[in-house]
Amino acid sequence: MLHHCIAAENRKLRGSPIWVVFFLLPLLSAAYGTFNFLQNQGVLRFNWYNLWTQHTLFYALFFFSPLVGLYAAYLWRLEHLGHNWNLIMSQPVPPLYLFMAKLAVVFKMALLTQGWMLTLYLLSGRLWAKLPGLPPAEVFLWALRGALAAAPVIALQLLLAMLIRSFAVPILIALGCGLAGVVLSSRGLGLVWPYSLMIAGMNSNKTEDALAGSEFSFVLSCLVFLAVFLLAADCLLRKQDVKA
Amino acid sequence: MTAFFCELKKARRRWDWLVVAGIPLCVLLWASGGAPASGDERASYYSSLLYVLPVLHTVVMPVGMAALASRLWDAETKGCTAKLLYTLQIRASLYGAKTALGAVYLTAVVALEMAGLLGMGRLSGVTEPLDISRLAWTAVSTLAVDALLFLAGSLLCIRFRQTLLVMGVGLACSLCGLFAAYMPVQFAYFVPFAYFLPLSCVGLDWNFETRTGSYYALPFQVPMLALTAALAALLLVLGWRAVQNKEV
Repeated sequence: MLHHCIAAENRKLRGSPIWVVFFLLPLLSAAYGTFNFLQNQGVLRFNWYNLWTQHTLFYALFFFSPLVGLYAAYLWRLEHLGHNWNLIMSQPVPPLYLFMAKLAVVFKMALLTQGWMLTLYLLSGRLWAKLPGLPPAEVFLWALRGALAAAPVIALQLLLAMLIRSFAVPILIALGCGLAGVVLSSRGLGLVWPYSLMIAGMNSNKTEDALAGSEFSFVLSCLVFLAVFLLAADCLLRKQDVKA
Repeated sequence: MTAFFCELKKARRRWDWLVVAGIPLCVLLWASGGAPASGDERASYYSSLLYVLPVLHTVVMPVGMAALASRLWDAETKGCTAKLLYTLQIRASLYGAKTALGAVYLTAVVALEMAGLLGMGRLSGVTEPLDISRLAWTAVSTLAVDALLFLAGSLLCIRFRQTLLVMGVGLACSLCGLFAAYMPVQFAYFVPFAYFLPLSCVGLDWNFETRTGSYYALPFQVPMLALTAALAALLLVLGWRAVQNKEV
């Protein structure tokens, strides 16, 4: 049943303008990161680690949360238009499956975004900056950790987009919460706020591992937040139908 | 005036005021990260806030203004009311009323932000006297660039039914604006959505060796403000023409 729901959600993305945003935003971030890296060689070292910090700095700090917020809002917007909400709620599937299907599809989009960001990092490092050798293996781990950190943000953004029928407001909330995440991360409270997890996971703006010794807390924090948001979605969908 | 009251009625249950309050909250929350810790920092805190605000605006405002424009125009898209409104109501009055309500929102955003800035100064025990003329300039220039962004968002909402496009463009503009913030200021002249930067009235003289900086007053860029206003006026006319020529 869940498999069918995921297939239906995937079908909604075919030919969708969301792919333009998917390609464009990481491209801008990569162009900016590489340019900044090359312009600041007086301060930065000419290596793959420093290129990573410049690539992921603003991507993880400010733009990833609104980007997944945009994916989530797009999928729920389709249900909020016309009579689609009543239609999906009357389907013979548990309501949580609808939410989980959207979670799976947005998570797939987030993974693709991470993959696209990583591809751009490799290409710009090799072809534009002309860095010698290969990037360190850690960056692949950091990208994976970033993908894991994306899961609770996606669940929360889906929850917000389900409750708030506006397309724009959840994206603005994502930007605001991302900024709060920057402030909390700078005060060492990165693991208690879902929007800070991305910054910690991606090791943005740090050449040494920011999570060294606290990987377990990071994974636990991701899983706890994800479980809480899924439970909240389940409760809301079962007991308090959203007005549409 | 009737059209304006109609828009106010439409906005009653839309909670637009939360969005209006949320935008300055984002900016102030971010600015609060650099709260002064020493007496020296308190002695230049207003200058540091006025210096950092344009950079924060460059990131937050393109998304915030796209969200506000989308709130106003998306109601018609979702309600499928275009046919009704464009045939029963004078089109110019519809556009005028939405733009006037937008102007009220923008003024509220800027007023809340300036009030928040003063509040942050008071709470942190700032010892620097406030230069009212610089605060007023920051308010006026922020309002002008906000208007430019809002009108651009409105134009996109009118031309395309996809709110996704408006928010996507807002995010892209935000990223490009951030790019402009770390480039020579001349680069920002070619990026209208980052005009907060060349309109800034406080500069920073940073010493890399001692890692300390001193703020200094920049001259008010009146021709730049006039250019911003002219671009906003052009977008206003383009939006009006788009409404006039729209097929329903």
